[in-house]
Amino acid sequence: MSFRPGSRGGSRGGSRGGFGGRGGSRGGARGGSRGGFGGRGGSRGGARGGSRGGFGGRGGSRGGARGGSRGGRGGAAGGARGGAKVVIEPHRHAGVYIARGKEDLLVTKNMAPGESVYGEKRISVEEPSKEDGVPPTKVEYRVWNPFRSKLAAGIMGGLDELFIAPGKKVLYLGAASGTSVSHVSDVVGPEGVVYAVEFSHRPGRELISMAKKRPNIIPIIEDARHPQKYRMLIGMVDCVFADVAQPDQARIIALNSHMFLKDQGGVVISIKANCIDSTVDAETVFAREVQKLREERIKPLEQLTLEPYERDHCIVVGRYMRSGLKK
Amino acid sequence: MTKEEIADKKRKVVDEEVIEKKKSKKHKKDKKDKKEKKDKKHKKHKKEKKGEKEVEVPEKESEKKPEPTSAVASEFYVQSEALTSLPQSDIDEYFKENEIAVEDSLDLALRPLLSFDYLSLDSSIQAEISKFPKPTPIQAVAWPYLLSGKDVVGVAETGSGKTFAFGVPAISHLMNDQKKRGIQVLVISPTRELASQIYDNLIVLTDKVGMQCCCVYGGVPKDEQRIQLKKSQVVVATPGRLLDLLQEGSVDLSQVNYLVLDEADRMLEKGFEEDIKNIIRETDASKRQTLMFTATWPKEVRELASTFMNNPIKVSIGNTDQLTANKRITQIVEVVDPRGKERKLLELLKKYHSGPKKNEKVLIFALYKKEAARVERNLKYNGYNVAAIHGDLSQQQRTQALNEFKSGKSNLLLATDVAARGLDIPNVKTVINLTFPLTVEDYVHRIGRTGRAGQTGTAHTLFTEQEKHLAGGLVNVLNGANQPVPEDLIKFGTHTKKKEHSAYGSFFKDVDLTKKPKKITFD
Repeated sequence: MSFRPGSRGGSRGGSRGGFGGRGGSRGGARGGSRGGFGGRGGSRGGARGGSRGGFGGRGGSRGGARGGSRGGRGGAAGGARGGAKVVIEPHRHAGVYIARGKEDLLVTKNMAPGESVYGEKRISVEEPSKEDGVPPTKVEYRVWNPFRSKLAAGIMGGLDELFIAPGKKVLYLGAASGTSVSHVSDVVGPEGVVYAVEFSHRPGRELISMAKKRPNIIPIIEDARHPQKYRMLIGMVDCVFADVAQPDQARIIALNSHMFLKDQGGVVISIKANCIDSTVDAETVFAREVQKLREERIKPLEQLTLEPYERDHCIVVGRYMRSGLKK
Repeated sequence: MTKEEIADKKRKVVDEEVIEKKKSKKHKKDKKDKKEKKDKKHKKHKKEKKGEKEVEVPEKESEKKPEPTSAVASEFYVQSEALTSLPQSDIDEYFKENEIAVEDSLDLALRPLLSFDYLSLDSSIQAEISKFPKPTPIQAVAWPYLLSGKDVVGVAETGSGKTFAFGVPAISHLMNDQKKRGIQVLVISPTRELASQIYDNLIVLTDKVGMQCCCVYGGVPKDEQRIQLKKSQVVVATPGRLLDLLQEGSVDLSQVNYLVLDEADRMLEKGFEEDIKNIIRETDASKRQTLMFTATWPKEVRELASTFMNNPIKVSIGNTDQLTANKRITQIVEVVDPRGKERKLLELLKKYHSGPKKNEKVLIFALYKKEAARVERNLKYNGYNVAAIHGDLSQQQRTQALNEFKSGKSNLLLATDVAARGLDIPNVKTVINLTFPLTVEDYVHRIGRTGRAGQTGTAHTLFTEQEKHLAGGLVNVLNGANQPVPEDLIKFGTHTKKKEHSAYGSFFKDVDLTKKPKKITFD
């Protein structure tokens, strides 16, 4: 069995094309930076090949993440550690996979094979070779726990639009120790970048030590309320993900979006109702936050609560309209 | 010609009945003793029922007439008038007495069949099931829904009459179906012993109505099974062998319109989930009626039910809490020295299985097959007639051992956890846990062999220091069932380890995964 590329190979369905190309200076800088990591060429090559194979995965129904979808299955088959047979299928969100075994688990391809970031389970699968005479290579995946990651809970819950995909540049606000950041790093792959902003120093140290092994993560230990302090470190990004759990959350997101997010870029926000306002019910808090985002030129696309993994939590996905929302 | 054929069938049925009578004489005697008490109470009711029967006869005649005109006879369950006119309080009392809970998203609210008189099936099936005094709770509640063509999830203990709960509607379903070729009823069970047992129960029904039933499981040559599969309309199978035959093309499941997953929780525990999904995908989802029976209701079973079933009605019999033991079981726990266990076992057998108690059935559990083999030799050396079921024995030896235990030729059965759940071992009076199982859930399942169907039983457990990490859980089970807790056991501490997920580790909440997230899409 091998990956079956779909008709949407190379890009996500529904997203608009025609964005400006990359600047020459950025390309040059990237090339120079990568030169310094020559020793990791083999690993990066394998990761890139596999990651590209994940493009254009099957659409499938929304319930696919929970293992409820039926229909044809692709993906590499083989033995997995722990003795059980596991089959890896691409999720409909590019860069994310489903490990089908005794239970269906959300997994991402490990950017740093052989190491787990926070003690999560790893699954090694032999991928059949695409060229004759070359032996099969092993690909390692890491289990993404929806009980620990709000983004994983959102994917399991059936988010339609993610804006985080291979090759994307993501600004991650509220990185904490880097649990979710590590999986976002797996998703965007070596051609993408994750700028992880964390204000607190204690988890920031863990974030920095993780970033040493993952060259596509740039840790920034700063207050996200003052993006001008770290504006020199970040270029234009495709997506802002925020898990800051602050009452003025919407303002923080807006400040960073105005400074770094490209036009029509994605905004993915995790909202914990009790941190915004614990005196009213969660639905009201969510509605207020959505309204605040509208006022900051972020057009909401969908809102998804995170049952059964979290209570009174939701994820709001929106699109940044630099020229303003139409009234 | 038709009359002659009917006469031939009757002769065959009569011959088989003679054979069955010889086998089940002992069972009938036991049942008759129990019936006497119940018969006294129901004498008044019987008089009323006789009148009702007379009224029903002409109804059957009228029902038969329209059948030839309609090419496709659609299943339609008609609730009998007598059942409808019963007062609601009788039904509520029945539900409370048997701890029945029904989750019906379709709001059919069909009434349970408190007696066989309310049921009108083919006469040969009716004659067979009338050998029992009345339907068991799972049968009473499930049959109206199943005969209406609905999907049903049954959560019930082993030994509660599940096989007939799905078998009788299955045969009735086949008789309504016009086509006679191809596999139409498929029953999947987790173990060979359970599959064989289901087959034994189903073949009684299929033979009476001229159907073919076969059993497919591993450890037996394939050639004979291939031949039987071609003739059969009803198949009982284990997932491994069935998948094997599917992949080589010997089986066609596209005609299956009645699918039963027995002991679904155990199949998932054994890692058959992917096999089950592959088998189910071979069937046609549009016409299929799907049933699932399980002793517990964990989230894996829920996901499987929501994936492959169409608005299932969930029927729960008894308390389905995984860590709650039946209160009719007397639980005795002794903390002993590991070296003295076998001597202690001989003492216990003197207590439970000698003198006037010689004919009471005793079930002994060991943890591993090596231990079971050693204990079996030791018991035989001490003069006990013991049958054993464990992994070292061949399929034939295990089947023979189970048959000896069922027939009473041997009233002592030694088993590992392989046989702990799923096998319907009748009338076990005592369960002895020679070695404590690996988890407290397994302990609850083991002692569930006794104290069933309203009877009392005894469970005697030998606990050692090697299992002290499970002492907390065991204390919780004993307290939950109001059983005495020995002091030696409390010394090990009452700490219970938090349940961990296989993939997520300790970062896992045991939440209700049936909660669905709410999604709002903005324009």
